[in-house]
Amino acid sequence: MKEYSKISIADGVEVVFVPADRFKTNEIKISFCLPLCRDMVSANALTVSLLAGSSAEYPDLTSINKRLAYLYGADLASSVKKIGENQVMSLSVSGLNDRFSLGDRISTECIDLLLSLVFRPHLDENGAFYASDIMREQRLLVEKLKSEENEKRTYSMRRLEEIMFSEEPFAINCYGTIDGAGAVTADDVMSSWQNMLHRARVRLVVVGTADENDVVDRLRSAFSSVDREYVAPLTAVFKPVAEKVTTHTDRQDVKQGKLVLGFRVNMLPDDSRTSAMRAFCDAFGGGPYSRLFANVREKMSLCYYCSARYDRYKSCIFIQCGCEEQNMDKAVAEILNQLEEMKKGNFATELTASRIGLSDAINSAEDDSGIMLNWYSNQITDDIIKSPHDSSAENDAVTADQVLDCAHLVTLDTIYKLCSTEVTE
Amino acid sequence: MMEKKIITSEILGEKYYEIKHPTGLDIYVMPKENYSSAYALFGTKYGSIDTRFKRSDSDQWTEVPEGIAHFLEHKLFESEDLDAFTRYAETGASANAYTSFDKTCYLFQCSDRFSDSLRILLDFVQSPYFTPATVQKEQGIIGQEITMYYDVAGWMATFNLLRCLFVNHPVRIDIAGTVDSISQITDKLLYDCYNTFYNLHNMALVVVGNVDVDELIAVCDECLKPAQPLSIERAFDNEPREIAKDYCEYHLAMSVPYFAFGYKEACTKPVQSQRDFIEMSVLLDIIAGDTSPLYKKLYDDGLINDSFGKEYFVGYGYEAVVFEGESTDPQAVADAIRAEVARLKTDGIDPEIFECVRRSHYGREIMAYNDIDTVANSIITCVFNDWDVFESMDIYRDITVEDLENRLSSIMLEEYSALSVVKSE
Repeated sequence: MKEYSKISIADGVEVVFVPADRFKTNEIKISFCLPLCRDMVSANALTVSLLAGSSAEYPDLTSINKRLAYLYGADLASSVKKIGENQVMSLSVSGLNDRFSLGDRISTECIDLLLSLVFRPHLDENGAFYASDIMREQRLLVEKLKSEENEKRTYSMRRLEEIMFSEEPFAINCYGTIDGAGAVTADDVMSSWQNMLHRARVRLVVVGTADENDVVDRLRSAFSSVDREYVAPLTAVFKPVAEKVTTHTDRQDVKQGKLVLGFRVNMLPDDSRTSAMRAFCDAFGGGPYSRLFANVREKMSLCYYCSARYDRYKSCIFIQCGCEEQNMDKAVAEILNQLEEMKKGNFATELTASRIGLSDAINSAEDDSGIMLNWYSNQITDDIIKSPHDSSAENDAVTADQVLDCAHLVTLDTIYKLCSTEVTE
Repeated sequence: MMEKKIITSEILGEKYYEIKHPTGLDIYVMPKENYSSAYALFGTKYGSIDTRFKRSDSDQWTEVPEGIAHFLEHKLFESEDLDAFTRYAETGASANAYTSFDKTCYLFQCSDRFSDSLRILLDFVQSPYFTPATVQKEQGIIGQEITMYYDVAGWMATFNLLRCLFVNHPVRIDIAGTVDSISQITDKLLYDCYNTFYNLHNMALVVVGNVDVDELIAVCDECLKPAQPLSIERAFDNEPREIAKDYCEYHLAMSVPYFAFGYKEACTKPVQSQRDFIEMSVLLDIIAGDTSPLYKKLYDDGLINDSFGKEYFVGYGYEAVVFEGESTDPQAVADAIRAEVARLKTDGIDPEIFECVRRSHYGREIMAYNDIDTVANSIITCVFNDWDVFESMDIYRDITVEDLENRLSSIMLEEYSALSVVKSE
C-alpha cells in the first residue's frame, strides 16, 4: 500500500490521502495557511472557531453536537497554530469507520459536515455573519488568551517569543491579542473567511479508508465556485546568528520559576542538513538520553524539567525549564557548558541513543491515526511532503560529523525568566 | 502450569490472550494486525491512596507517609549500575511511568527490538535498589515536582475540591504527597512497600500491538521471578458520609478563574462495578454533556468554554461526581448544575438526548481501540477493578432510561456538594 497520495484540485488547494485500514476511524482535517499578520490574526483565529460552532444547516453548537453524537460520537475540533511566520487555521472531524456503523456511511457524512461548516456558514438574510455568533466567539477567544496566562509553561514561552522576535512577525501570538479579539467586526470575519477560501494554501488530509475519488470530487465541487487568488506561505525572517544575549525577567505570584532560552540556528528551513540539526537538538536536550536531561536535571538537580525543541521553520532552538530562581543562573551556565561539550564532539553515546530512539518514535507514529493526520497537515508550508518512513531514513543517515557541524551553528539570543514576586536571593 | 485463554469480541473485531503465568503474574496480550509498534505496561495495584494496609501474612496494619507510591516509582528507575533510561537508550524504546490514586505503571512503546525492551522492563521493576543517599537526592527532585503543581490552576482546583469533599480518605492528598510527607520517606519504608505491593500476584503485564505471544511468553519465562502468594487488605472504614467543607478558594496570578464543583457520593461498597461506571458516565453526559440543555445554557450565558468537563471520580473507598473548567462566575455554574440536577430528578430524562449520548459513547468505545496505549491502559484498569474488558459494549447496548433515572434519584445530593475556586487575589 502506498504511503500517501497528493492530488491538486485548484491553485494552492490539495488533498493528501493516507490509506490505512488498521484504524477504526476515518480522520479528516482541512487546513488554511495564511501569512501571519497583526491586522488579521485575531479575526482569523476567531473565524475558524466560529465556523466550527454553527453553519447554515446547524445554526448553533447544540445542533452540531447532536449531529456528531448521532454519527456515533464523531469528534469535531478547530485549531490555530503558527508554522514559521504563517498562521494555520484547521477544522477536523474524526468519525467511526463505516465497517462498524450498521449501514451508515459515516465517512461521507463527516466530510459533508466538514464542508458544510467551511462553505455554508451561518449567515443572516443580508449574507453577513450574525453579531451574536461573533460576540460568543470574542468571549471564547478572550478567555483562551487569558487562560494561556494561567498556564505558566505556555505563558513563559509566549513571552520569550515576544521579546526575542520583537522585530519579526514570529512575535505574534497565533490567537492574536485580547484587544484584537474585542475589536473584530462582522466585516473582518467576512474578509477572513474569504481569505481562507480564496487566498490561503488549503490542504485536506484524510487518514483511513474513505473513498479517495469521492473525497476529491466533493472538495473539487465545493471549490468550483471559488475564484482563487492564491498567496503562497511566507518564508520566515532568517537571522542566522545572535548578535548579543538579551536577558529579561518577569515577576508574578508563582510558586515555581520558569526559564526559557532561545537560540538562533544558522540553517534555512529547506536546508538538506535539517535532519542533522534535529538529531543535534535531540542528543543535546531532547530525550532522556540527552546531555541536558542527564546533567542539568538528573546529575545537578537544577531543574525539574529541561528540554530542547528545534523549530525548523523559524531556524531556532528553544529550551524550556522548570527551575527555582536561585538555580537559574547555574542552569543557564550548565546548559551553555553542555553546548560547549557538544561543540567538542562529546556526544557519541547520546547520538547513538537519539538515532535509535528518534527513528523508533517516528515509525511508531504510524500506529496513531491522530498523529498521522497532524504529521501530514503540519507540512502544509512545505512543497515536498515527507512520510514518516522518509523522515526516519533521513534520521538514520545522519553522521556524527554533521551533528558536530550543527553544534557550531547555534547561538544564544535570549534568556527569559519568570520568577516569584517573593525574591529568593 | 500456564493457563492461556483467548477472549474475542465480534463487534470490535479484536481478541486478546489472558495468560496465568506460573510465577503468579497475570498477562494480557492483544496483538493488532498491521500495527508496526507495541505498547507494554507492567503495573501494580498500588497507588497514592494505599497509605494504610495489612498483608495476608501479618496481623498488623501498616501506615506509611503520603506520596510513597509515587516516590517508589521514581526510585525504581535507578539501579546500582545503569538506570532504566540508559538501558532503554540502547533499544530505542520510548519509556515512562506514572502513579495514580490506585495504580503504578511502567511502560514503553517501540517499533523495533520489543523483546529486548521487555527484558529491561521486567528486570528493573523486579530489581529495587534504594539507599539513604539516593532517597535524599530524590526528595529534592520530587519536592520541585510537587511545587510545580502549585501553579497549575486545574490541579489545585481539583485537589482543593477533594479536600472539601473528603475528611480522612487519602484521595484528598496530592498523588506525589507533600514536601513534608516525602521528607519522612526512608529506604527501609520503600523496601517495605515494594515487598508488599510489587509481588507478582498484585501485578499485571499488558501488551498491545505488534507482538508475538510465544516470543513474549519466552521472555517472561526467562525474566519473571516466582513470588509467594500474598493478598493485601486496604483500609475501608475511615471516611464519614459528611463533607469537610462546602467552599474553598486558592489564589494564583490568573485572568479567568478555574473551578471544580462536585458531589460526594455514598460509596457503600469499596469498589464500583463496570455497569456503575458506565451508567454514571452516560448520566453525566446527559446532565452536562455538549448536547444537554444545561451545557447550552451555560455556554450561551458565557459561563463556560471548551475547558468544561465532568467526571465520575471513583476508586477504592471513594466516589464523587466532579465538574470543572474555567468560568468568570463559578458560583453561577454551580447553582445552574444544582438546579438542572433537581429538574431532571423531577421531570425525568429526555429520551432523545439519552439515545444521542448512548450512541455517541458506543461509537467512542469502538474508536478507542485505535490507540494501543489507550487500549493497554484500559485493559489494566479493567483487570485491577475485576471488570470484563469487552463487556462494556454489551452494557452500552442494554442500558435504559429507567436504569439511569433510578440511579439519579439517589445521587448528587445538595448537602454533599462543594465548590473549589482558583482565582487572582
